Amino acid sequence: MGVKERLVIFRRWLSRRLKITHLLLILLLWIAGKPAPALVTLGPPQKVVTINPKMGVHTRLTDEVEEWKIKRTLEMVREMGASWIVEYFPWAYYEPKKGRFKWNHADMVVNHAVNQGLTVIGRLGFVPQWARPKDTTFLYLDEDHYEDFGDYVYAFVKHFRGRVDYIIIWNEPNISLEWGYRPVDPEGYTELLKVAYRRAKEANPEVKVLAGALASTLAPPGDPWGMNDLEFLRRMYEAGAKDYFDILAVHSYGWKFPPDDPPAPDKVNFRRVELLRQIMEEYNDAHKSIIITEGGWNDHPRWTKAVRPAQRIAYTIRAYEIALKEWDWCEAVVMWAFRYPWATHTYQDYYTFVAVDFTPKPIYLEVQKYAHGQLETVAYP
Amino acid sequence: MLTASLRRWLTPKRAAVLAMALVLLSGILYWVLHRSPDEAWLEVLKRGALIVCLDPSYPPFEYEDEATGKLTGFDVELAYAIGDYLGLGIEIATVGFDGLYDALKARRCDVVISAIPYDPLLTQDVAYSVAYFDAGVFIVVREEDDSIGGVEDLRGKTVAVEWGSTGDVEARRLQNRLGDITIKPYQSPEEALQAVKSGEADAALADAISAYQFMGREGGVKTVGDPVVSSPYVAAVNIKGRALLAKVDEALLHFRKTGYLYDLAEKYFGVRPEHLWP
Repeated sequence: MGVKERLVIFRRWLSRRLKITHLLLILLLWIAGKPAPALVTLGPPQKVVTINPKMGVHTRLTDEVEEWKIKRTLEMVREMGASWIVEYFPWAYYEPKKGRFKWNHADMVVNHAVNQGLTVIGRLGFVPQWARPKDTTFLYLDEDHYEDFGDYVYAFVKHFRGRVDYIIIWNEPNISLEWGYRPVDPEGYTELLKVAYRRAKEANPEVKVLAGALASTLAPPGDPWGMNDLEFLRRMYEAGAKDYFDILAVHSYGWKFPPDDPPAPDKVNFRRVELLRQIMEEYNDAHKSIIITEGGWNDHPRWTKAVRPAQRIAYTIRAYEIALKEWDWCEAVVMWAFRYPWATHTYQDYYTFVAVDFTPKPIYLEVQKYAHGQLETVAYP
Repeated sequence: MLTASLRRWLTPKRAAVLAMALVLLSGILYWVLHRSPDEAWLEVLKRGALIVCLDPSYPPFEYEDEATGKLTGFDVELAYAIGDYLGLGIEIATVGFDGLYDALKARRCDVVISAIPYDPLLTQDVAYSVAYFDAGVFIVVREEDDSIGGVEDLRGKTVAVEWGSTGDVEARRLQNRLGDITIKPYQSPEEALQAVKSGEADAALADAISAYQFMGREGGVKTVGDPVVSSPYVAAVNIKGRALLAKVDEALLHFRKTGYLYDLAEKYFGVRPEHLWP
């Protein structure tokens, strides 16, 4: 081998070595530059201290990425004195491919919630792409895929057994938007409920299945956008829903009315839930309870359906009090919504108890005082 | 001779730098000559009218006059004044408050003038004008009281607030910072301001609109100092509407200078505030 050839071989060897060294150096720099993951631990198990164990809030942790924010949110819920949370567990997020479940984020949320001493109600819905036709919304589910949804319900209930023992089947099925922009269908929803109930009980006979989560609406007969909730519930019973749920979930917003405003079929107010209760009694289903899984008042300064901040505080506390003192059939009142992960820049921001940066709003502090028995009287403006 | 010295001077390194500079210069020239004109402004000029989006449910800024059925208010008059200043007609498009930005995005209107507060988180989507009103939280005291001029003077005082309002939030914050503040919550801003007037409280923390309305209607109180929290009302245009924004700004700055904004405030609040924009 001549000197020239040796030189060529040496150059090749050096070039390879340099490439490897460069790669190693880049890898090292990447590792060194990467911040260490924040250490967030569950911490010691906590208990909710409250004079009203029926208090709850709807959290919005589905899209909250950072664990410390999830933990802080749930700590603040507990510190406010609320025992219940409703959280959304979208099917599309946790079963992106048929039969492949990814529970990491849901586990994180549930573990922190349980550790804070909170009772979690899981709201199930949101159809993955693989379970619906193209060009349909995430809320479109046809009968051919009811069993697929049932499989998700089964997997969810089984995975979270002992941690999430309350589940809501779908959300506001009496609104066309929530039914994939199709005409609403109480009989179709009842069929979905039957599948979900059967699969849930197969996974855990102790799990409580909540049906309905009906939106309060005065939609007239034939309205393409929705169906009156009272009518929808009656038709659910007629379709045989009675044996396929344990608790009725109800949405109960007060809009401009105070919580004591009496209910009427032609009025949407907080006590409209009493009319739904009457229908349960009509169908000999009074042994079951109701949970208000969404509700409350809004204090946006510009929204025509909003009240003043002082009214919102007083109405919210009174609503919790009504559930405790007057409604033995109501297990919990869950107010919309504790905190958003980011500002929506709409009236929705004025439903929250805590700002995006975790600053407690006065409503949070006043409800906290109430829950800890420190609020002597509440005036009702 | 010149060529020879140029050749000597033009080393390969210098030639490369020169070439790069030429490329950069031609790029800038191309951008200046070919940048897209402000289509929004061209369309306004072609139309001869400015389309203004507003939500007429917020007196005294924009509302329907019950007697005439016509839209009126601070913002409505301001919109027409901007039109006059720019030599343009005004067309009002009424949109719900939550749809105002979408309407702008969808080009249903050229500008939003609807008591919208400046939002730093939206500046990627819309361009804001200079402020024309500050709706933030102010300290309100009795007219004859000169002992309170700022937040530090609230130490040891009783402060009235509307329960749950932004004033309440700020009062609680100040209480944490200054310690010695007694907060008295009331059910409405009017009651809180009345408490100041009657001597039940030393001061109130109230939003500018409630304060000015009370001052105009009842009198006996005044705002003092800078706002505790500023909430500037601004006009908004499409993010690409550079020329249009410049024209709106020009008009608003002119109105600041001439005192027209104070005149509008006096007309709709019955009082001439000291501090109208931040």
